[in-house]
Amino acid sequence: MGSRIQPEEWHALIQVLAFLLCFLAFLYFVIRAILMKKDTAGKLASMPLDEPGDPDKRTHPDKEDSEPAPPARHG
Amino acid sequence: MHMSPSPTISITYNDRVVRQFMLAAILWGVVAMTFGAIVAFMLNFWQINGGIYLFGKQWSIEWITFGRLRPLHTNAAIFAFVGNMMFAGIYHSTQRLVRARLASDWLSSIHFWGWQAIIVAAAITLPLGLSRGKEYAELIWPLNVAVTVIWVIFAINFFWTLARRNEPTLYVAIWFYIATIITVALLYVVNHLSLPTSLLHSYPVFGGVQDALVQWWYGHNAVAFFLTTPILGIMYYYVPKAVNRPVYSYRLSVIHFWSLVFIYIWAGPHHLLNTALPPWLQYLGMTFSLMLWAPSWGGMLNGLLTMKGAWDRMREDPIMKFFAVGITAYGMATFEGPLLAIKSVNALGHYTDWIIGHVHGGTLGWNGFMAAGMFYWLAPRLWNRPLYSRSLANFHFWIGLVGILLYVLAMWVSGITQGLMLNALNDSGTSLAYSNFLETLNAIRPLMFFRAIGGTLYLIGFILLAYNIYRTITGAETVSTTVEVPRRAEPDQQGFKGSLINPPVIYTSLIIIFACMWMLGGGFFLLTGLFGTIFTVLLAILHFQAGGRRWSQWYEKLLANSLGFTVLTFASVAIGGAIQIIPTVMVNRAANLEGRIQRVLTPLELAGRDIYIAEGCYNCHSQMIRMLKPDVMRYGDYSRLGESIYDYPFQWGSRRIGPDLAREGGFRSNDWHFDHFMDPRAISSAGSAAALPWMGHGSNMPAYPWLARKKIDVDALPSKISTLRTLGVPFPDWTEDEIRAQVEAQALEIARDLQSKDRFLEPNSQMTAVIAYLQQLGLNEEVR
Repeated sequence: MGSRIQPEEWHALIQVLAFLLCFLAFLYFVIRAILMKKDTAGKLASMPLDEPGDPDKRTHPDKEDSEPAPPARHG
Repeated sequence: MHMSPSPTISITYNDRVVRQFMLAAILWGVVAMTFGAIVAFMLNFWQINGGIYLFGKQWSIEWITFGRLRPLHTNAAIFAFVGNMMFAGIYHSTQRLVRARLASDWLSSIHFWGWQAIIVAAAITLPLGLSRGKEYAELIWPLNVAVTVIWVIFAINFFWTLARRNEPTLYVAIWFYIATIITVALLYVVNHLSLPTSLLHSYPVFGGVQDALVQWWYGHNAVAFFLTTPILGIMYYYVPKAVNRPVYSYRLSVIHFWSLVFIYIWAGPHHLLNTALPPWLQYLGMTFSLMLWAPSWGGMLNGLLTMKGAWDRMREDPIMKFFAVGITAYGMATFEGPLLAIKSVNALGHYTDWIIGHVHGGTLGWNGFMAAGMFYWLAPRLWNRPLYSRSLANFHFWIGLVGILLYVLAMWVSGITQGLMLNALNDSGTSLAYSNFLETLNAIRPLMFFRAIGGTLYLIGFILLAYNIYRTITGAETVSTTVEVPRRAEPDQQGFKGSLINPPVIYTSLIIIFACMWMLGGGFFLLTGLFGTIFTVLLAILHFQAGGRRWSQWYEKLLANSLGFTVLTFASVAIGGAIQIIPTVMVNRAANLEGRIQRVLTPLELAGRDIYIAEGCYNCHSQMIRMLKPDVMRYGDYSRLGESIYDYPFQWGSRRIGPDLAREGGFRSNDWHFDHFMDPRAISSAGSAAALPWMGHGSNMPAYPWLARKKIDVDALPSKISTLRTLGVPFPDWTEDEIRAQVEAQALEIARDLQSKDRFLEPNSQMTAVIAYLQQLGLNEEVR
């Protein structure tokens, strides 16, 4: 198919550098996540449920079907 | 007498802006999906593409062609529908997670009204043909400035709220929101860098292959950081709330977040596989796209497993149904994406409906269903009234699901059919099995129709949602929650310096530098790198053992420090973007032109190209012959990088609803193009009849009779040529009179040629310019 783009020499570094960076970052955060204390993880996981004054604690039952429709205003 | 401050404070959340964004999202969702259904039907029924067929006659309406309305659909779906939904969810959940009211009601209001004003402006400008010609980045430059301003206002409002928070820890959803805000800003600004030529027109600062790369770095990461990460944040808040269970694995959410943020930014080149993009970039995009599968499925599993133990509620609860299917659709799309990013698979699927099926599996399933679940959950709580009808919500779910399945299945079959047919060779491999492009179009017509039906079913479901919410909130009293929260004692302690100048970062940076020297250097650098790596690792281990707790304290502080976290997130995405884009910008053009360079356009051809862009022709036609045998056999020699180097913006295209045009120049006569513009079906009617005769066969392109009536804007050309010269296109330094003379001369030549064939066209008509542009496609100059 003929010649294609000739990569410049320094292009070869890029893929290696990219992979190395990502691998190191991934490794670090996996280790951090594994070493996270269980109670810390549990506390963080429950944050959405621990809201003060959560309105879901009030009574707002979803209804199976609609309430009787209000009287039509037009016709 | 000194009074110590109360340990708690009373906060009333700003839910007004949440309600506003939610209702706007519903409205624009209906609009976006309606236009989606319309443009889908346009591809089956040319009678409504660019006009209306009434009383036995086709009435042309230039504002409603597929090329002009498809960008309206995509922008409405992404920025109007998902954008408003995202803002509603972010503002609602953030206030509760950080236990603080939004920092500024004034900024919140400007954010809301400014965003709606941009949407309305887009709805007006796009059908008028005012377009930058880049996908999901079509809006003209004044609107780009407006978007940037409003986004900055959003960012200030959000981060100011974080700074005033009473909850020290940043929940994982907040991380996703931070990543969204930072990355979208970076992506948007870079891809929208332009030089204006007038109030309504500009050229991007990147052209050719550089523009292709920047565009799809933006395009893919718009999917990532506008359509995925904020909705993941919303998932991590609303799914636990809906099922009343904590996140299944917070550790997994940490890995999910950082893996996603690091890897996603590299995946853009998978939109340009087998093109003239440098191969190292293609393989980078492919590899990272495959790696992306893991964190995406980690997030999917985390979301689904959070619902573990509550599956029995799925039968009755529509919210759980929407969330479960939405998250599953996310998983399906993030499996299909990496699959399509494999070069050999991409050779089949690229430019076909398979890509459309992939996109809509994600947008309809993930974005649409997560939005529906969130709206049904929010409405009763924000308006203090039960949902009007749970049965209706359940029905919405089922009709929407059937719509998604019909849409996606139709597009899978259509895409694979078209890909196989376009790539098929005869038994000896010496010629194409389906040499006429229309044969493939006829084959997929029924499938495109089923797609349109599927999309319509989905739209009906969403209209039912709008009705249900309307009946819920009509006459209801709005509610803004007031809570008592513990006052936060200490502010953020770890500033910029503390986040970055500390042992973990210093050791990591040194190890990376030494490792690179070791692997890539020679002689002195190799030895220095080897011993430096070993020494640094040993030192880090000793230091960790001596003061390990301090390292973990750094990370724990980071979780509670929004500034440091934001900087690290920015660094993650900026590194990926820079490493991809800077080499391509700096590439030695002379060495990479592959022996050909694009011929500079004449003024008339430039006018024609800008009309091509304004009419949205790139939505259906590509200009990139791939390095694949069937492409070369069908369209001619494969496209060299140098042949599009002066295209601002690039015109490689992303879809072949019609054939590729890269070597169209000189292939057909001027009168053929004239007839084709006036009535495509009179010219392109060949091919076998469609399976369903009433669908017709032949071209589905709209007619463009207005191009014969409308005049070329010759007065705009000097400014355009000057701008392009600034960007590096080697236009001669023509005067305005010379430009006008060249336009007239070339246009007259085309008009006379047409007249000799009994076609009559005013020389100064837009159609003359577009014909001139098409007739030069593929012309290039040899370079050594």
